[in-house]
Amino acid sequence: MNQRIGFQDLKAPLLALGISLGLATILLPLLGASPGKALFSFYFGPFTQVYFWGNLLNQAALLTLTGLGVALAFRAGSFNLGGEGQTYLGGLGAAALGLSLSPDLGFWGIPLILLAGAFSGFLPALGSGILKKHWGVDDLITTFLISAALLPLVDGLIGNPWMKDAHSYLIRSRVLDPAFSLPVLAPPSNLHWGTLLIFPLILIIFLGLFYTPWGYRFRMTGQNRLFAKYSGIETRGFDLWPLGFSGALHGLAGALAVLGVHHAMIQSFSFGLGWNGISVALMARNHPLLILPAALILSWLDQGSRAAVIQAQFPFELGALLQAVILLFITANFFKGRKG
Amino acid sequence: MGWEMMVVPFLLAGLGGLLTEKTGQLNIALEGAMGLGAFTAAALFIATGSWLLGILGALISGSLAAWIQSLILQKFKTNIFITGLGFNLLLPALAALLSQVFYGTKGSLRIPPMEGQTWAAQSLGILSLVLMMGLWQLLARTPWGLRLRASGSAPALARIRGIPVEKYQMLALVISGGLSALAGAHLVIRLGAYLSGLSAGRGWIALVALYLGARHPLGLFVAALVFAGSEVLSQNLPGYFTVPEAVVLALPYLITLGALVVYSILTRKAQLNRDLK
Repeated sequence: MNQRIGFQDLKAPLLALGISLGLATILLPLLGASPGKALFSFYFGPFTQVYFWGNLLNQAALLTLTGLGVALAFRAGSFNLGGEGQTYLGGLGAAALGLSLSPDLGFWGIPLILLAGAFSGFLPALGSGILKKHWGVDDLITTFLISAALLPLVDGLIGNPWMKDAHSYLIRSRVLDPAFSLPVLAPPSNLHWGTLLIFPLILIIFLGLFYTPWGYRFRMTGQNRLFAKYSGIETRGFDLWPLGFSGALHGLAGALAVLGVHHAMIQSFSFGLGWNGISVALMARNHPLLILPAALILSWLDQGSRAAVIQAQFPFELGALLQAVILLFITANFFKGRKG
Repeated sequence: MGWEMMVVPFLLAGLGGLLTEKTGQLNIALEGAMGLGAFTAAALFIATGSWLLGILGALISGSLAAWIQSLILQKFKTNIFITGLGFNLLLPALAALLSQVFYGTKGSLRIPPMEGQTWAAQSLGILSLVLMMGLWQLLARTPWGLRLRASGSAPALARIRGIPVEKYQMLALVISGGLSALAGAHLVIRLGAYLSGLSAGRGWIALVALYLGARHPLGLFVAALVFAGSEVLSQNLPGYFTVPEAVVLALPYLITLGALVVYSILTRKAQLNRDLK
């Protein structure tokens, strides 16, 4: 897996995408009242209204962050399947700091809150890294299990008396002070200025991985640990930090969604960001520059299925189904030599 | 219904997981198959009014889903963990879609009162015990069991000896899907209704039970008893002291994690000792 990507590498992603698009094209006319309209809104609906394409871009930015996180771990030979929990905890950390800070801080509170989110995602992932480094516990399973345990625990924490919005029937926190909200870029959609943050991050990770000695050691360890070790690279650190950074990127995504979109911590707000981050990374073959296009494609599927519900009264959101189908096929012939 | 019924879902799904583990391809989609089985059983109970048809339908739906899973694994050589995750996301989404299309609700289905509810639940219980004894003997004492185990522990050798490894792996996966779906049907019969998310992590606990039970049917049974006991306790305890619901929901995963860490440390020590000798 190098800096250059050939058609051979894109076979599995194209297969996965093709199968899920095929499924949508069969199901939409079959279950909808007006087949033509349902198909049209699924494929083109996301581009017809500011509301849809703004949300598409916003979601793509969040998926870019989680996708970068997963890819970073993969590149170092680690597996982060705990993105769901890390993103969710990142949102909680951001909301908790946002509710504690004085609104007088104004704009300067925003970077602090984002950092709090990143740190909250960093910790559980680092935990898996420590288990891997010291006792050789499989990170693929521990990241998943820790995340699965975090989801209900975070739900429970949102409900605590200090945080919970007492006037709401839903499980959600109080609203953060308006001083801490990121300005909207394209009303009435969710697109906000914070999404621009992804561009420097993509650039830093791309340059860091491919144009620095550290990036060389990082990739070498991921590709062939034994070879890297005998070449004198200190590989044990790469069991730890890439997973931690991966978690931090997930946490940042959670924080960005809280500050830019919801302005509060809401139950299950981040559902799917972690799983789809895995699909994004696998689709992009873990290449930092391909992450954004892959994220755009997946967001398009999701917004398309929403547009079909709203514009063509299609009875069901296909999004979850299509995303699951992508996960089924995305590893086709990819994990050579590694047993599950 | 008595507490002994709590054991049944863990035992059924655990036996399925055990078979896949023996063939070297641990199926983590037990949870998803359980949810699909629960939905299929509920839909057929409502449509036909027959316990037997609902249970058979669940068995078929779970086996079919696992067969497709196995085809994807073998034809496309996908990663079993990621594809298993995909199935855990796909099967609930599929159940929700079917429920939305046929019943206009994503949430819950009530089963009208039918005769023989206790009898249906008990016969699944007896079936799970018979299966536990049967699979134990089959795995330990028959050529079939030996070949099945060989396709997991020494696939290359098994292939040389002419054992169709892929067929055994597919069979184990199909059985695990079918048994997990039966576990889901059992949950529906016990409750008299279907709810989305009814399985609530029991598929994952079944995986833990099979590891805690040292990957032996009898050990699995003992571990399933322990988990069933703790389920009964957590339902009856709140009278004396309250456990937050969040902790109850997180517990299966935390116990799994703990068991995994201990298991890894122990096997690593054993490995180091062996290397030193």
